[in-house]
Amino acid sequence: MQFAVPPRRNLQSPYGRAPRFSLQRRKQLKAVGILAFALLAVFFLLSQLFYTSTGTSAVPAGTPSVVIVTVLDRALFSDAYIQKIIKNREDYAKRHGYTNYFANLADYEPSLEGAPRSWALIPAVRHAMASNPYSKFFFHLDAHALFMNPSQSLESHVLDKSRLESLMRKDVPVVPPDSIIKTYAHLRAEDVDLIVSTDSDDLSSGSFLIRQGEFSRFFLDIWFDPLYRSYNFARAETHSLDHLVQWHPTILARLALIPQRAINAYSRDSTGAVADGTYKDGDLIIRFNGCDTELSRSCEKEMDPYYHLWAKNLKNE
Amino acid sequence: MSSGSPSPRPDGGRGWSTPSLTPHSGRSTPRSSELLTPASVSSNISWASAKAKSEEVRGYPSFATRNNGFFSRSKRQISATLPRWRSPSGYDDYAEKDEKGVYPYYGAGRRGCSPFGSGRSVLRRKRMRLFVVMLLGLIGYLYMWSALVERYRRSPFGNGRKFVIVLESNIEGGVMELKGAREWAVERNSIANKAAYAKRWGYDLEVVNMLAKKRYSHEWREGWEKVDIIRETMGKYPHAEWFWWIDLNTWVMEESYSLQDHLFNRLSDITYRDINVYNPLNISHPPTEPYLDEVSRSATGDGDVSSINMVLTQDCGGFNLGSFFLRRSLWSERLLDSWWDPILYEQKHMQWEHKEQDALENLYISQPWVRSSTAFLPQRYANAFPPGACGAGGDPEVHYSEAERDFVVNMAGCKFGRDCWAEMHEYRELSKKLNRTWWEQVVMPSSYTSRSTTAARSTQFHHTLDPTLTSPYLNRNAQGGGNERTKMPTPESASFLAKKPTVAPTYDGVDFEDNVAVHNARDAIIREQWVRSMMSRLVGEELGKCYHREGVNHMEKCGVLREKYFELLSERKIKGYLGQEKNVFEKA
Repeated sequence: MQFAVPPRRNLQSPYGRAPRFSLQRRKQLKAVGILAFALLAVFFLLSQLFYTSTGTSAVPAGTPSVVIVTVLDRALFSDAYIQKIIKNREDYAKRHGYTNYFANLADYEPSLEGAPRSWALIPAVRHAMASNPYSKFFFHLDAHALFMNPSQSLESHVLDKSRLESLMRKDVPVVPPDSIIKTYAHLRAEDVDLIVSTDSDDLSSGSFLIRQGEFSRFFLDIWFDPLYRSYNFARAETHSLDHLVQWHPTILARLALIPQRAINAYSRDSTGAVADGTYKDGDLIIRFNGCDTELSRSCEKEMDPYYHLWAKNLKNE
Repeated sequence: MSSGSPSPRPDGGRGWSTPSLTPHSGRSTPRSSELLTPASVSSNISWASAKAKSEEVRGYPSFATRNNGFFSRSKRQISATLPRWRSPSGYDDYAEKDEKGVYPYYGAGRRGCSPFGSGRSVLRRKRMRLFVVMLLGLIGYLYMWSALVERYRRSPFGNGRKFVIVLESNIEGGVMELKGAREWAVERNSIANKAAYAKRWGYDLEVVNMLAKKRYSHEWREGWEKVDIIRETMGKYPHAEWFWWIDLNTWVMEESYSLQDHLFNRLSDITYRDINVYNPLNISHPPTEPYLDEVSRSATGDGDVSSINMVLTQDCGGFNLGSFFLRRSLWSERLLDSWWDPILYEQKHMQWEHKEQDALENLYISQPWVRSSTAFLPQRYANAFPPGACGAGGDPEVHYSEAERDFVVNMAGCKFGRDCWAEMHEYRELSKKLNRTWWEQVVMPSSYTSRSTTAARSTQFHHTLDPTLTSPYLNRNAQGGGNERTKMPTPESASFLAKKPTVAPTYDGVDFEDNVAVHNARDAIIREQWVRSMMSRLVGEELGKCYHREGVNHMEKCGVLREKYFELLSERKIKGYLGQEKNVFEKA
């Protein structure tokens, strides 16, 4: 059952130092090597299989990259006015493959528990996220605003990494004019989850971009905390936002301040624009800030000339 | 290739293994024995000794395909040089038992001895050496094995560095209260207990000082250091994953439970994420608001273990933060960040009796993102209560069970009407008794019987006191009750009197020839002066807090403290003893 004659090399000197690897040993090693390799390969394949089965599922085709969230107050504004807003936004979304989420303010009133109605924007954004679980960015834009330069996409205008990097205002007081809390100087564009601008008084809750993810759930939930709502902030959710970014570094660390005109240019009649915050031709957006709260103003009247300008441009194209 | 098969078969093996040639069949392969035959058979010296010698020369057997490792080589040497313990392998290849089931060691030994002749003394020396080596090995095992294991667990290969135990300490030593012998004993023992546990499993132990800091009283956030401390600790141990906060009044009963085996390796099996499983606060769960996403509206979050970032226990009154786990993650950073908020606290600080605990409950109730990463542990897994907390005892959900060897006991609320040190002492002894080694059980079973009977009366913890710690201020806690923290130390209080030295702080009646008496008097005088000085300082601090708290009403509200402060101010300076001593001399 053994070799009839042992291999020659081994016979030469039974007490001498044998060659490091005998033939048989080499064969065995080779077999072990092949076996190990095969096992590793099998494990690798299995783990890959397992990983894809539990990992995050792929984004379905046709998912809009940006969702524009608008809270419409059908109780206070005429249907014609609201239709204008919708038309303007549908056109913009269609051009760039975005989608619109028009929320009805009345739907969220029970959740507000008596807080001012403007708080409804927070559950509306959360709702938009729940209905579009794969979209990356959510753009909350106050209803009283128009896209005036619809050819600009949000990506090229704000969201692109290099563009955002150039827009971000670093190391400036986060709440104007002179908050001692300043935006982080070392913040990078890829860490940004929340893009806001400031007017001359506050951070603008009427126009901000937020990336969907753990941060957005955390941020919207804490912003909507019942104890904030019941605190009687003078400007409701806007002041609550001011408070949040100044007291909670985990929010500040994800926040990029950008110049007001980028996403939040105010009309001439609006108060509170910063030095370079008033709308000029060619800006992406015009907002009629405060037209719904200040008694002397009328949103419908203010918007009309701009809406016609936009419609005329649309026809000319 | 059957010849390559290293395991000899009992029947066919006889073909190649002959009694005197293979010292221990199954260890040397057929081929090697066959190839060695010419040398060993022709001369009549023992094959084993020849082989041993040859191995000294060659260093390793040349043909063995299997015995190349260091251990198998030395094992063969051992078996070759220990004929007495060798089995008669030649006759019955590897079966060490014969048919009758008798171990034929001695017969085999005698038989095996006979071929040894000339090499005998060499062998004896070798045997001696081997014996010494084995003895040393045994001693090394006994004394160093646990140290080695601990070293391994702490190393990057072991998982010990993934866990940090954060233990609060010095809670009594704040402004409000002085610490007595029992508080010191509690602290010392509790820290030693956690230190031993951490050392055994290679965890890090961070003992944190809860001394009331001025910063927090100014910001209206006394008792909120917990949050900041956890954040600091997370920064201090960048390699750690889980942080276990544990209160001082706790005892790790079973040091042999590792956190990995006891909890974290089976987190999905033992935790519940749907709070309806046990819901003393009656929190409505899951959230039903239509605007929330699916995960937030689900009762069990996403159901994936990896999304658990905080592991809590609940007692009969709601969340219990006496022993909880927090994982390093963005989520927990956010939680620690939002835990304290001035606007939330401003509105609620009157209602939030348990400060950070209530705040966390509030976060859990009102913010869905907190729910989706929080898991609850049945209380007895990491936070069992003694009888007296949450009922008189015997509740299988809440109370420590000796029979089931619960992991940790938390003497929650022992400061209010119960005796922390007595309870801790009781549990320490019980833990010792439960975990004694077989040796201790054999040698001194009697010394524990009395202890075990006291442990059996566990419902009466607050009556059983450790005789070594009897002092006049024992029932201090009982009389203090809930308002204890607001009490100031005064010269009249029992605790203060108890800490007073026995020697009077005066030279009256001291014989100046007696050096000991003089020194004792000096000590007492100095001590008394320091006590006075410190008292004025404490009252001053209280006064400052009172001013801050009362604002414009301080004239009215802080009067008592102000009077007291002025009264103590004159005694604030440490004057020393020499003045009095000299006056005494002048008198004399």
